[in-house]
Amino acid sequence: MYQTTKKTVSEIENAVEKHSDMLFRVCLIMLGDEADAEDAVQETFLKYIEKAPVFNDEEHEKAWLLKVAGNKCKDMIKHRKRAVNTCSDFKDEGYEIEIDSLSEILMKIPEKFRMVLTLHYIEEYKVDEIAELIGKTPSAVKMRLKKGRKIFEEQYRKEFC
Amino acid sequence: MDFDKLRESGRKIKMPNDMKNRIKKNCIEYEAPEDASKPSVGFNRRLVAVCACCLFVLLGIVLKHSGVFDKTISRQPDNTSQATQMPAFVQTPSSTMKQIVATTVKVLQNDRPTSVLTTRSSTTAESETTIQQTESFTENGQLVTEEYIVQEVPPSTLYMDDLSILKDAKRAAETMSVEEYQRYLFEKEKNNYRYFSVADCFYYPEEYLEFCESELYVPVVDEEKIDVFAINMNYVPSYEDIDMVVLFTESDGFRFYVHTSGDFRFRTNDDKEYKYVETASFGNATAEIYRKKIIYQINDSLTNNMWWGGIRAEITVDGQKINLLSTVEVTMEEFKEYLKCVDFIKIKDWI
Repeated sequence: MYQTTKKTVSEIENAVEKHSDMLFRVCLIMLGDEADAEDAVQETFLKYIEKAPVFNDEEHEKAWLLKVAGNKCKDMIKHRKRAVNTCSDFKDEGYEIEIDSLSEILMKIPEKFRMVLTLHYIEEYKVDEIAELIGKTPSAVKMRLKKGRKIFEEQYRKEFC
Repeated sequence: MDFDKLRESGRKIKMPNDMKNRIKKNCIEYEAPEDASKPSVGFNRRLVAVCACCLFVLLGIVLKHSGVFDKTISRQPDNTSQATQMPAFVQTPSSTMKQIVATTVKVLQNDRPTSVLTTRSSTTAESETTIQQTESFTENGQLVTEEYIVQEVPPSTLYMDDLSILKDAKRAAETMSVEEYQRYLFEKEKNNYRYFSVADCFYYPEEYLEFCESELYVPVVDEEKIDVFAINMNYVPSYEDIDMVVLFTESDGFRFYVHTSGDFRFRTNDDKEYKYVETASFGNATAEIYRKKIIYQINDSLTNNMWWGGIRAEITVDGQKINLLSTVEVTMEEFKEYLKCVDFIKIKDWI
């Protein structure tokens, strides 16, 4: 159970400033659509304001936000049933988001592997931490990492070799 | 493949500033509901849905066990409308169902008081069949004896597929070359994801084992005889990541082999040491397990050694007793469901 305290404007601004890139990155990779990613990040911060939990430290806060964002992404994938878009869609929205080929490959692999690979290789979380974040056992995370790496490599070879 | 490059690539993704500002603005303008931090007292729709499903399943099980769906009672002369009826099913401890396949009603005498009911059972020469007798009295004092012939029936046909897969795979293996057989299995697998996992456990030639190994399928079969029972954990719905097969033999108590591409946690009996076998190198880990030819001895009953999240078993490795916990994500209830199929997959009957 978290303690709660109302967030001040500066706390909210700080949190958005500090964590929005990371959350956007994860959500964009998960959802493959920048508008969805923006929605997910915003909803995550709204939840942050609503619940107003008190955290032990910054890492704790980051993990909480990631967990909420991950759940939002899962909900969106489940309910909206949107297919993962390709890079070309990002330009339609008028943003210049730099997504290079490796991230694009990552966005094409199945969701459950995408999440663990993103958290492990991009956000540099350890297996135990990922397990905690996604509510799986460390062994399941390791398996997903292993299979995810394999799928990623296959995809990479398909595209570049 | 250098995954550092992936990190660099991912880290390049930044949220555009105007998007960031928009979120900031929306968040600052957002007024959290006053009671947001209090626990919600409304209905949790997901929870309600899950409860409803559970209730529905439970109701189904109860109805099934009560014999509502059973059509096999065949009554003979029905001149005893007052006689007490037996339930259509008799639940036995082993969780197999016994089904009443025939009923005989006899009116013996008419000088006894009413409302007395006795039931007795006797077992016939065929151990699978039981005759049960019920005596009751009609309103006018007639003694009515009913005889029921009860036969054991398989608990369900859920696993019938597996048997046909096994038979099919065996037939194929007998007539095909190794290469053909491999192709055949993979072709089958396309249409039935269970095919490979069922078929590869029990029957494949030596070369095929090597092939499996190269694909990180760890072979189960060695000189030990795979004897009787098989349960393939792949069928547990929540169990999606680790391939595992548990093979039971009944030669001296329950023994089982574990075929897994997952990892194990070992713990000594005094719970002090705790060794974790890295999944990253699971090929080696499982290879090591097989080199040692660990035989997993399950004490007492299977269910006593099961816990949520895995299977626990005491094993002996090089004379040292250790508790094994496989990291299968399966609830006890789910595993019990799978145990029900043990009788049904009698490998020795088919292979």
